[in-house]
Amino acid sequence: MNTLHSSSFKINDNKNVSAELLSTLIQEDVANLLGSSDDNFADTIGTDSHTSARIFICEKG
Amino acid sequence: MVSGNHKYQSKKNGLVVKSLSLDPSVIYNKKNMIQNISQMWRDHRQSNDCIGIVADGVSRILIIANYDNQLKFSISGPSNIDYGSLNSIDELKSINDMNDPKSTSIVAVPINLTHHRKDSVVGVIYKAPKYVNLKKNSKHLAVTIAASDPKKKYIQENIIIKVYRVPVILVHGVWSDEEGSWEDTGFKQFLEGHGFWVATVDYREHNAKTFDPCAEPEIGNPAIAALKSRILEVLDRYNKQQHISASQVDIIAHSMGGLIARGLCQQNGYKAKENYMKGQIRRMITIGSPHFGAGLAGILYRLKDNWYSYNEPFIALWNSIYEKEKDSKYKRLQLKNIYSKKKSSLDKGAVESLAPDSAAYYNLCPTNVKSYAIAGSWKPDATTSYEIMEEYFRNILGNPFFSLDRDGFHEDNDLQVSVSSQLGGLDGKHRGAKIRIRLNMEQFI
Repeated sequence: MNTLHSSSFKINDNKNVSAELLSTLIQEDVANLLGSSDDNFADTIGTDSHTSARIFICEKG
Repeated sequence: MVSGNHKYQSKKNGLVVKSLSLDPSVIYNKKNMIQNISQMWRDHRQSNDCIGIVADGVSRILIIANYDNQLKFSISGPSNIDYGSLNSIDELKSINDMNDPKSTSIVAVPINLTHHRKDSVVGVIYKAPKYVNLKKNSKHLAVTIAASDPKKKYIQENIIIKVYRVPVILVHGVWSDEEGSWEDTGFKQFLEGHGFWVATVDYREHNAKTFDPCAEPEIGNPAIAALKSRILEVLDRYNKQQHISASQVDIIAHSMGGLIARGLCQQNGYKAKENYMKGQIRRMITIGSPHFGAGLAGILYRLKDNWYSYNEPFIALWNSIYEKEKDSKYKRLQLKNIYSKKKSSLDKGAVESLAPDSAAYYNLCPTNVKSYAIAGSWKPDATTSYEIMEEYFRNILGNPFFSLDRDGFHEDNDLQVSVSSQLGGLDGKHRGAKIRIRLNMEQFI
């Protein structure tokens, strides 16, 4: 599923497009991440570290 | 000082074991700690019960027993699960001794109580696990700590410590508020439905101001101050009202909210005794945050004073090249005033600060908090939204050849922030897809 920054930017797109905070996939991911180990998290953000990010681009493949 | 106290366990074999809330500041001073343990022991029947601890990997509670000989304290449970760890009180000489205890079993020696010279107690400090993976309907993990005399096996008692999830605070973004971001979307309710205790911070009065963490002395900026205040309020609620030891929160932040949370981490006082000098945030998950800038913000800020012919809906906006001067359907307005009609100010600081390479980004340091970044992308299904947004910027720029991907973001984006900016320097992992994942991984890594 594609996600746009906010629902105000979603215009006439199909049901595979959602605003980021409305996305159930993102909501589920956040819930799972909070209960997971530190291995899923980077030590630092805002610099060139290497781990822990997810891009919501295409669910269908 | 040591404050509050936990219910004590049964008096089987005369051994009483209980858990007490622990103020981190006493750990700096062993003598004070023992004095306060004495006070606690004397007053424990009059105090409220302490419920447990949150799994932030930082919070501690005191496990104590009335005994005059050595006691062995052991955390029981499968070795593949982190149940927390133990530290001896008598070995504590400084805050540094509290760092990362690994032991789940400790033999502790008696401490003479200052107020009760005939009495002595034996205690250890229990540190919470770094996380707890609970089922949706479970409120806590029960951790059993056994206290026993190594030489007298019949002297033995257990205490159950309830380990809770870390409280979550949701931070909204620019031009938004707590209802619009987290409640109207169902985000807050979803997390609550999965067992999390969730709070929101609302800085709507300042949501069009800069995120610059150095904008105002002492506080950073008003949004940072609001977040800090909310965190302290939540932790106070846990520690003093719910009697659950808590030192840190988890942050979920959307858009500019991620930059506000990062800005908090570089303020004076962020790392304090109350959080064992580990900071107030355990983990941060950002969603669509412009860690390195929002490409379109610079364009909007540059054009904010230009005049346009405007017509509802917002997207039907024409610059002087296209406008129909005498068409009464259109109003002449400056771009900043068009945005103001949507309660989206262009000239109060936020938009200027969100432009890549702004002074605000110069002041924002890399953030040493366990972090995860979620990035959105319009490709491939949001073609219509993309084309309308592109047409909008072609109009206000007066450039019919303007490409949103090529000229606005220089790469894939969620129509506001480029993917690499959303990732904040972290590697991208695509969700779900197969062939497309590999193609895009080559693009972004």
